[in-house]
Amino acid sequence: MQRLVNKTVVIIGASQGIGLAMAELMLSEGAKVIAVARSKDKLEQLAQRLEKLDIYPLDITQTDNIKPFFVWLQKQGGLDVLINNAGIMEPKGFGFIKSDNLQQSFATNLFALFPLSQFAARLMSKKGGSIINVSSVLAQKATLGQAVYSASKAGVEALTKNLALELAGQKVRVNAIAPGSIDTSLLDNLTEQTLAQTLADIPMQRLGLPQEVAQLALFLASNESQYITGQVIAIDGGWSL
Amino acid sequence: MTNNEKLVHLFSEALTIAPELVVDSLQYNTIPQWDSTAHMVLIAQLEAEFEIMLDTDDIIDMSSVAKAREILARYDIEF
Repeated sequence: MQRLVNKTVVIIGASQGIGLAMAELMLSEGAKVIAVARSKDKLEQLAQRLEKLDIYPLDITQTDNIKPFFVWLQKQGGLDVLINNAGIMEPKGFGFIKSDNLQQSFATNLFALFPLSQFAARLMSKKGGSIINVSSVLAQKATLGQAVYSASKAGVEALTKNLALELAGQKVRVNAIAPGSIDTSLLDNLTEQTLAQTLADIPMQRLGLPQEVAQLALFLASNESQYITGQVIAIDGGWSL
Repeated sequence: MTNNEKLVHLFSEALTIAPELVVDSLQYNTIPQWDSTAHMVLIAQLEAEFEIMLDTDDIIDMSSVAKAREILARYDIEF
């Protein structure tokens, strides 16, 4: 039985990796899926491949563009699930971090989640809904060169818990997924040495698959998790143990 | 139902108060029922009913029933 029939799912950062896997899985579960990403070209290519996919090009760091997206969404009939998956990881030694790096990473990884969640919560409040934020095990685990990414994702987890508390009365659930090392292009920025060390540290001795993270998102999006809110769930092969 | 009747109904429903209490002078945070949580429920209901999306500044400014009517008028809702 399909688990997301009659549900509208918006996936921010859906053009590749984990977001793409989520879009594919949720379409197969009967959802109306709206893929959102910065690149119109990538989205159009995706829409050619995934027949029923709806797309909306949006740079979430341009906050003035967020409201028009939700006005459009309101006319489409509303929203049941918002997945905040967009993220930037640019490893840098602490002494090499510039203001621009901070602004860009925090704008994408954390600040945009505020207006996105505000609008989404209002659209969901009549019948409830689920907001799923994609964090990282690095929110809780220190690794060299990841101060910016780690701090921004720690903010995502704090936001998740606070929003869960504020929105529980409106039947809007807010949870976070904290992936470990997942086999996506985000790992392209890591050196071979760092990647080898990471693999050595993972008890299950392999990278995770985007499809495995998508399965967790499906659970949090579906009614099967209807009594779960404010939680951060790691999916990392035991890396955070 | 007129837009004014809709407004009174939505305030009454969101704040769980009698419709007779929904008067222009009713202000945010002056009764226990109109707290920050109820305010967001009210905003969501207004947006759904009138098919609009309010700016954050307008949400914050909506501090009374009279002010709500004034703000909604800016979104082409006629009273």
